[in-house]
Amino acid sequence: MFKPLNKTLNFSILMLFTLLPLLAGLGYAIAYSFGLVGVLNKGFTLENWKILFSTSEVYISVLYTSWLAFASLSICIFISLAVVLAFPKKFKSGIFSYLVYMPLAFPSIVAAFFFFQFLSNAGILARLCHQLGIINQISDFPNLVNDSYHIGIISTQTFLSLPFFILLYASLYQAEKLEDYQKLAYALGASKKQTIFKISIPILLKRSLPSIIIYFIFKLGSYEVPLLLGKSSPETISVLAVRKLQKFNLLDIPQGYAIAVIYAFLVLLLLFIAFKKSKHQYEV
Amino acid sequence: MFLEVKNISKKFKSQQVLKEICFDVDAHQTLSVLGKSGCGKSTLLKIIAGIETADGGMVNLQGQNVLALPAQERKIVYLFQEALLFPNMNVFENIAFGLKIRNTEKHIIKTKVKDMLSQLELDGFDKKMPHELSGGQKQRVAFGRALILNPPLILLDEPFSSLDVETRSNMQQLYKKIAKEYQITALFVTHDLKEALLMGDKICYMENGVLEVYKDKQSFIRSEKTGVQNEINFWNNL
Amino acid sequence: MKYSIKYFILLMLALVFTLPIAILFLLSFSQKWVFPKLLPEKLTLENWTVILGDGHVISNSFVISLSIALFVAGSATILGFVLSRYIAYHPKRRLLTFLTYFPFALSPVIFAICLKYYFIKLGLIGNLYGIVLAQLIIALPYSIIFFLSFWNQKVLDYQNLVYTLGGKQKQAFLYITLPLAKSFLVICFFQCFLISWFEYGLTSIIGYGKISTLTIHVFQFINEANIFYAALSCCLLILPPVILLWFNKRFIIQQKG
Repeated sequence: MFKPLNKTLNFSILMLFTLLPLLAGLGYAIAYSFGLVGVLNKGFTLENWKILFSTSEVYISVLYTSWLAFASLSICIFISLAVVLAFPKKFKSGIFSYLVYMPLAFPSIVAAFFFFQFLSNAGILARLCHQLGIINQISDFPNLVNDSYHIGIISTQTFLSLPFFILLYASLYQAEKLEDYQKLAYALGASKKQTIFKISIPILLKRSLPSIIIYFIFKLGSYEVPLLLGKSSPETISVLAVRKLQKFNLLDIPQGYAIAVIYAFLVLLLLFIAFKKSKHQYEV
Repeated sequence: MFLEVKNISKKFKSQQVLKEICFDVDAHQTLSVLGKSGCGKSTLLKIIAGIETADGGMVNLQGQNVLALPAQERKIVYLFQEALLFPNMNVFENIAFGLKIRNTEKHIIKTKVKDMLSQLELDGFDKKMPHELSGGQKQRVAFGRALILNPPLILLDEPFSSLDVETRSNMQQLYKKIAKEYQITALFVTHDLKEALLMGDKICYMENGVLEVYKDKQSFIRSEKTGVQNEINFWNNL
Repeated sequence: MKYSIKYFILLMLALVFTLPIAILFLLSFSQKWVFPKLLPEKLTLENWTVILGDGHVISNSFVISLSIALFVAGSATILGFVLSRYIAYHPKRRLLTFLTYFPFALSPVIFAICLKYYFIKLGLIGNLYGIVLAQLIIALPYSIIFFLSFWNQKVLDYQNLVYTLGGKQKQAFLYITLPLAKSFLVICFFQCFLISWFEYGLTSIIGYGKISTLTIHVFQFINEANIFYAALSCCLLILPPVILLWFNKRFIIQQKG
């Protein structure tokens, strides 16, 4: 530990814990999806992939998952930008600098449970509406969880990512000396609106792009929230893949692996873009 | 000869950073190395200090070839451009560091550090933390940390380049004074013409990995490439 | 007028941040809550006393989760610290960083289904060893990436400085590198602790229903529609991170999923 460990040893441990599981896992999934391994394997076949692509299930799942990630991140970024630009110093010290961290204490599964209790037909919001005389019975309240508009999932995801983006923008606001740029823009005769839309927001968005992509990748893989708050169809990629693999229909298993492979390549592609976009070494 | 450097070469990938560098330094003398940034001066110092390897050549210190020795055993102290005071230690602990790791007795450390502090005009600063010091003070502590070990050779890599003009000239005077008192042998790297002339007993000029040693200050001043003539013409034509 | 809108927005934000915790705690102390009552009809300590009583599954799984998380966090932090140094000063730093990001970015649950076969072969399904190893595989890349920002040129310069002052590698490490890295180590430890503490999908697949961590119990209670016990286990899950937050908000900075 004192000496920098032997290079070969370092390299081996690194590979053992990162690349090996990755290659082994992905390799197995690929082999399974092409019928090379598994209980029902009959040698190389494209059959599983053909079946998978013959129905719209997997396309819809990818689009649906991307849409959820995109929608929740957009709302989250919108709120974070608005809040940080309106209160640039609120999150550096004082009570809000603590409060903003609260959602980070929530595992996804707890956040999903809370939003279920809050938004469901018999939930707190529905009770509140009842007390205020807006609704008369449970069925009057719109479906906000397991719903067709995915309001439950999107709210939960937004709640979970909000602190990250608020803190990110609050620190970028200082690191990028945004206040100086704003003053400069005013001095050059820009209006408040022009300064916000032409200076502040573009700078913040540009600097946070790699983080946004990484977060988008995290959201693509989220499991607990759509599992608890989603409808049975469409399903997100991870929920779909796990269902195909955990169920008793053996014929579904190769398709489950094929979905995992598609997902992994999607992540690889996005990660590659995130790395291209970050000029300096990307740090968390 | 106290320090002899022979045919030191270094390549980074395809770039030849140092080409067959040769020079020597007498005991208790300071040799200034003048050169623009990126000319290879820092690499040369790092090789002599043992924190960078050379592709070939020899470094003889007091008759012993030190290139094969690890940095710890060369007894050569390298002073970085930044003071690099250990942020977790106060001034006293920073200066005492080299003695402490040699398991020197506590009361000896105490007297030595106290002496050093007053030499450096830092009396009363012993309990201060690095972040409470000015740039010049930090550099003085870094000096003290090196000098207290009585190293046969000190390598200074642009130690004053981040200081303002006034502090810089104070530090130059202080260095001259201490170098004399402690009979220091040193290599002083700088990109500042005046500083090179002021600090060195002898001067050499480095460009694109090639080092030219001038036998005295006069020949350095007369040389075309060192830029001294340009400077003289500028002031004369004013 | 303008100020009152600003205050309203801030109030809403404060509610968004605090209400969920308050409501979960309220539910954990409740027993009867029929629609359309806004507040539960019965508040009691009973849920807590029953569940935290001796030998109850929840108090057991709290201990199991805690042990797993502490072990995973400890190993991931130490290994990550060493391995990130190797990557940081490697000529192919960018490529190795990219390779480390890939397992970090993958969904743990999908990672788990792809690795399940090997875990079965190695006899690591349904036991603690398997869960620890699987969680380490997702926590370690995080730890490595986290420490990459620590190993910069300056740390290298500090070490070299110690060497030229005559210090040995052990001394450079103990007196300089370790103190410099202290806050990084502490933060990374808590981050990895939370990755393990929060983990559900991967644990449910590798644990195969045989190892009940707290998150697994939350899910069971939700499925059984036992909202009061579910809320109580949720509170137990939130408690450690909230306590950490109390000590130092920097301990909690990143969350996946």
